Amino acid sequence: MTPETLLAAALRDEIAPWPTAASPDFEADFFHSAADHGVAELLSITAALRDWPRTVQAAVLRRRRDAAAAEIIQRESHAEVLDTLNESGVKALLLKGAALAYTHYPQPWLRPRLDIDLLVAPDDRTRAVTTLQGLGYHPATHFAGELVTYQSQLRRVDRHGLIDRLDLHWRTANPQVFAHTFAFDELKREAVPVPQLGTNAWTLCPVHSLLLACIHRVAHHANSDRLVWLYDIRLIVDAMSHTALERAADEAASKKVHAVVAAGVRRTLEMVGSGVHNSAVERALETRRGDSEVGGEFLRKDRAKVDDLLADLHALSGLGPRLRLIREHLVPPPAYMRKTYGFSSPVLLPFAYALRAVKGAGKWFRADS
Amino acid sequence: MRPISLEDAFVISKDAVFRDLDGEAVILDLSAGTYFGLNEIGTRIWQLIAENGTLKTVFDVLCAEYDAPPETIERDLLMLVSSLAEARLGTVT
Repeated sequence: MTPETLLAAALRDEIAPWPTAASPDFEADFFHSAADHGVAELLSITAALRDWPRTVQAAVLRRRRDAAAAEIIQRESHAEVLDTLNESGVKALLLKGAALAYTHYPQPWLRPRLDIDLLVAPDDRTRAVTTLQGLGYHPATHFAGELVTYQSQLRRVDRHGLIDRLDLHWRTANPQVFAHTFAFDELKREAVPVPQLGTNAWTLCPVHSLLLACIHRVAHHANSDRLVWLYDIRLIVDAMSHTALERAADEAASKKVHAVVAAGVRRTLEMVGSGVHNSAVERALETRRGDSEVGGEFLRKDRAKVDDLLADLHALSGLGPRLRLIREHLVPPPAYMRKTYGFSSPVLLPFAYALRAVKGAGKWFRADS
Repeated sequence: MRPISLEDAFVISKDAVFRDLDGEAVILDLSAGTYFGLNEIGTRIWQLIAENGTLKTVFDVLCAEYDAPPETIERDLLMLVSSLAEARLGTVT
């Protein structure tokens, strides 16, 4: 038994005995794996934990305490950010872990996250960045190009000396294939409140949350089986009514992401199970297989960066945007180059581009997995 | 610092944030960014302090709830309150 199979079995609520003949390193490997998969804290609510060695139980509970303390600080910071953005006229929607922690997990500290993901309307992007800079955030990465990315990472050191990370998105995904799956107004219209984070905290409705959770692991993480992302999907599905599931299947089909959503849900059922109606989930998804799917190629695990570029080029319409995307990849803005390669003199800029071309060539053809 | 007695009260700091974790608990001091872990009995004491404040009332409830000699309960209660005060999670009045 590997740490991963034990983790998955525990999350499926199965009897998952600690291996009797485990190597001395097994416990350390197990916790590394649990942290990598983002589920170390979640183990505290599994039935399996009760039968595991005392040292393992103590370590899980210690992590839960640490996470609960960290969540107090995160909650304060999230509320401050959302209130301030609202005061400056920017409507922001919480995405992914920072939202699901409050809307779907039994306790928010059971869903660890390194950052808060916020979505704003494309037109509000500049105002949002300016407002966040007023709160002490500064860009952690430099902008790589209008068609290369639809998000910007910011960070600040909070009053406790901790690094507070924030990902500001103006589209829900970076690959062109998925970038226009949702319009901000469409998500905002059906958004639901997150009262634990104040009156200005809103997130996606369950149907949109499910679609985005399935798209995210494929579009940004090479069809990853990271357990916390699959557990997110499990909790979203478990909390949905039959009608909501049917609507999710309809939306997935109409947005041509049915294959990606079906794959995410199917993998979730295999890896971390579901508390309710597996057959209903499968039936809802099975009956809507579309012919004109997008992004199905993203389900391949051996994709290289060049495959993503080709998919982006295919998804863009018109020669102009396609040439622009190629240019943005080949010749990113000077500010991006200075930050990435750590120089300030303009004389070094051509050398940095040459170095990027030489070093980056191999990366484009290597599979992500 | 003068010795703490059951005649005192403990006023929880406004910077102390409490989270119940199914039996145990953590209290984070927002002003210092440090946190304090409590076991099951410590958690119960914190909750009673939050409800009542006066240590005599907390002591009476604990005596009714736990099958332990009153002197043991008093000693443990005063020891915990002293630790909480040292950690600046509140003040003894």
